[in-house]
Amino acid sequence: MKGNHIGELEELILLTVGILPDDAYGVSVLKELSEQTGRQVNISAVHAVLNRLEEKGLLTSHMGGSTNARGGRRKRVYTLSSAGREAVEAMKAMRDKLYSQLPPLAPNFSA
Amino acid sequence: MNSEKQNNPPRWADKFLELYCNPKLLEQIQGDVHELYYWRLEEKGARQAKGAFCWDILRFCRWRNIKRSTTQQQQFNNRAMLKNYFKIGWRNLLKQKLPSFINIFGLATAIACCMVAYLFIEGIWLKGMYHENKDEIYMVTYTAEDNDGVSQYGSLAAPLANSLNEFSSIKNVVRINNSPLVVGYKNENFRQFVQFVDPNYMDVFTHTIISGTNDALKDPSQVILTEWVAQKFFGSKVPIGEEILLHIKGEEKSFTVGAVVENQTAAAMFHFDILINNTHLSHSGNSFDDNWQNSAWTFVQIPNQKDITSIDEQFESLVKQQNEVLPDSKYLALQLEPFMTLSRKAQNIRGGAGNGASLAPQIVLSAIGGFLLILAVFNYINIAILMATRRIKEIGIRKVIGSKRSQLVFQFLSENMITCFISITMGLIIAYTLFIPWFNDMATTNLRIDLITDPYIYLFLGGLLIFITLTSGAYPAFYISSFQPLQIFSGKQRIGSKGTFTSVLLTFQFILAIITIVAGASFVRTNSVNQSRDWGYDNSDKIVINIPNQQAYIEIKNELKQHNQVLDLSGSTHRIGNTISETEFSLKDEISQVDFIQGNANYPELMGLRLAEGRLFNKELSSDISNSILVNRKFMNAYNLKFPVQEAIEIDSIDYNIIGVVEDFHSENFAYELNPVIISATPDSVANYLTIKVNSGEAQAMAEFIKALWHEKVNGSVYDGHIQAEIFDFYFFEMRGLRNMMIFTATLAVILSAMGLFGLVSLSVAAKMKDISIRKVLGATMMHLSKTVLKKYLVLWLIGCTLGLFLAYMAINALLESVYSFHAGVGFIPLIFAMLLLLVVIIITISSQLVKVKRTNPVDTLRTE
Repeated sequence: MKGNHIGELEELILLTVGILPDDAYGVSVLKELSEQTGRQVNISAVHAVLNRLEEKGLLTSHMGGSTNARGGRRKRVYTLSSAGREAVEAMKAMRDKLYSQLPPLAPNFSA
Repeated sequence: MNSEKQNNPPRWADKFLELYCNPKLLEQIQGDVHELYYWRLEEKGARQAKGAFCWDILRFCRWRNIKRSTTQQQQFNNRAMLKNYFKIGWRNLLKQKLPSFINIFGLATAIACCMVAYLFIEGIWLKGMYHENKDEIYMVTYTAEDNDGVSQYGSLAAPLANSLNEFSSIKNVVRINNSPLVVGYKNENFRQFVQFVDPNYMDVFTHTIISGTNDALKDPSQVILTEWVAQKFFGSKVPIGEEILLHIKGEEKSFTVGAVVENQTAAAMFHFDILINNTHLSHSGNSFDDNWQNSAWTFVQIPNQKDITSIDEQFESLVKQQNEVLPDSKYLALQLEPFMTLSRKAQNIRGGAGNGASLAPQIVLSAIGGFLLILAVFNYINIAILMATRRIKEIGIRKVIGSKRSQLVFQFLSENMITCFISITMGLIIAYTLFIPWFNDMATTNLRIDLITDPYIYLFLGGLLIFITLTSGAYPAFYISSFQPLQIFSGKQRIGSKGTFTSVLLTFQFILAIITIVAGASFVRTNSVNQSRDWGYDNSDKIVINIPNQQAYIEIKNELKQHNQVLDLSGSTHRIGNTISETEFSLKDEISQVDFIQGNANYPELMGLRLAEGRLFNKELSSDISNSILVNRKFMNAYNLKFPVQEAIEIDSIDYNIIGVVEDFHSENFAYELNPVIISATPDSVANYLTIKVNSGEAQAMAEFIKALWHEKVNGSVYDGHIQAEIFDFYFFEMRGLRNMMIFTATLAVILSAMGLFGLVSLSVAAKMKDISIRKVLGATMMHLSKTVLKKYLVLWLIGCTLGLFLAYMAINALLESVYSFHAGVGFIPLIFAMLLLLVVIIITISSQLVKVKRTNPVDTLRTE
């Protein structure tokens, strides 16, 4: 394992899976991602990231129901694991901490 | 309906996904792509959706998603399966010894023949491949204008090498000159091919040293010999340090032997007997390096490929240099020709290295190799199908257990691979021990199998292995694996019941056999006809010798005149049958070239030329010596003349009158047409050959005496004397070689097709044993039984004959035409001979099986317990 580091796309997808309870799978994640963030990613990239996150133990998955649009094929549905939930919280905490130390935007007259 | 189809995702992309995708991941991935596709179809239209669909599928093609076998278990099974295939294959080979022997022996002989053909052709097209630096060596050639336009020449002005040596990108410059020289050792003289080279020759070109050192040429007083010359002069002792004499430009120089190299093979670029330093081409203050009249093949070694373009640019200065010194022979440009392309370009480069060879022998040899290979492969196919009848249950069981058809095909091909591999190994052994030595003796070549330094041979052998495995194995494998298990076990499956395919192959074999027999028989006939063909003059009891200098000529002539066995003698400038020169002449202001014979006035009479019209020379008439000529009948016909001829023939601005016409005679061997010939009378002063007519039956004894006399009178030259009747002996030897090769091919072809037939008949008789036994019990006689077996093959023989004789007639006539100018044609005798020979072989082969039929007791085959 490469430690706990999480890439930017991984973070976004992790969050997207989190906000899509019970219906997070390849296509829905892709659509949600592009609607909410405007990011255009290829479906194969989404699959790759989901797989990686599952390997890291941040997601769990099971085979879910089928729809007509999929020609009766089942989909793999992902849910946030507790480790995933923790990782999201930790990330937010870290960002907040860094953000709070940002100096206020003010003109510098000393020079 | 149509629009629905249009709106489906592209089928091929879907298929592709199914092909590569890991089955465990396929469902979710395919589901997602399809869902996306239909969503895009509504949002963006069919075109874009389809494009995006394909793109998605391409992007999914990653290592993670690709199907692969992961379990160790499966791999282990594969290995076990392969091992089993080879084991079964090996057992089958041993179980059916006779058919296996026929297959392997047939293939091995055919492969050995292909080997010879391959080595022969390789020697022509890959000349020089043994040189380690072959890819760095280039020949410097030049183009110049001549009568025919612009031509490329191979022999560069020798001083240009000095300038080439100054190029920084050229590592070595080597110049090479060839000439036949007289070489003396212990008072005996021989003519040997000497190659004059720059001292760094051995650094650039690779020759395997047997004894001595690589540096021998750096010392101008040393020479390098090839193995066979060393053996010729010094026998088995080590020749290093021994002395030999070379006659170079009239001087006799002594050299010590510095090294001995291996004989060149057929694939060698240079053919020499002796190598020496080219300082010996300089003489009396006339340095080889500085005299612009000298020229040589010039090779450069350029280690770095990138320098070639810059060198091309620098060549301009060399062209300028040459054109300033010799304005009469201007160069247009210089070129670098890669070493390995020289033999291919031999036709285009005048006076270049790597002499091109005629296509005819290459075609004949590859045709022979190909014919025999086809025969052997057909044998294999026929026998393999029949052999499989004994294994049909095995095939059934394999199928029931779950073998796929592709696995069965693979099994048969891998078994076939064993046979082919054994055949190739045996073929190599046969070629090495028998065929190549035979061929070398016959064609005076030096072919050699070299498994160590020749990389191309592995390419050839590997290609041959795959080719034979597939051609011989593919049909049987696919055919046998197509049977249904149910049919097999219920005993309904009949193999090759119609046997059309088998019959076609067999007929084809008969055709090939007939062609080769006709070829053999026609060559035998032509040779025997040519052996006794009239030469057009009296060749008996005459000896021709060369005498290189005038003083010795007079002395020998006077001495021989006194000899009581000598009837008459005459000087000439050439030998009939061997060396004839040409001359230019003009008749009615038209200039042509003809063969030109000059001899003493008594020469035509002595040679027994037959007078057709007019008279021969009269040595009392001075006009006969100064301006009379004889011509042959061909000359009269070629230039539309009628005797007596009024017009004068002008040679070298002297007018000659035709005083007589002689019948045509063979001035060259039978490969050449009869040519128009002019004969003129000359005094002894220009003659360098002497023809001596001796008492009948004394030629052999006198030849010895004359040789001794010659050695007494002549120094510094090589004796070159013949008995006139033996002058075509070398030609006849070569033709006998060709004839023997044809007979050999025919024999092999007949043996191969007979073996194939034997295998077929024995297997089919074995399969029909019950049928035959029942007939026997019911009272069929041997005649009846033979008829049923023979009938089918006789029909095939008849078809084979009709087609084969026609093809043979066309092909062999063309072959004879290209080899001989005088031949007897194919004729009826070889054709009928071929038909009958094949018939006899067929009947004998089949009868050997009928004997088995006769001996079997019906009880043994019919009883079932």
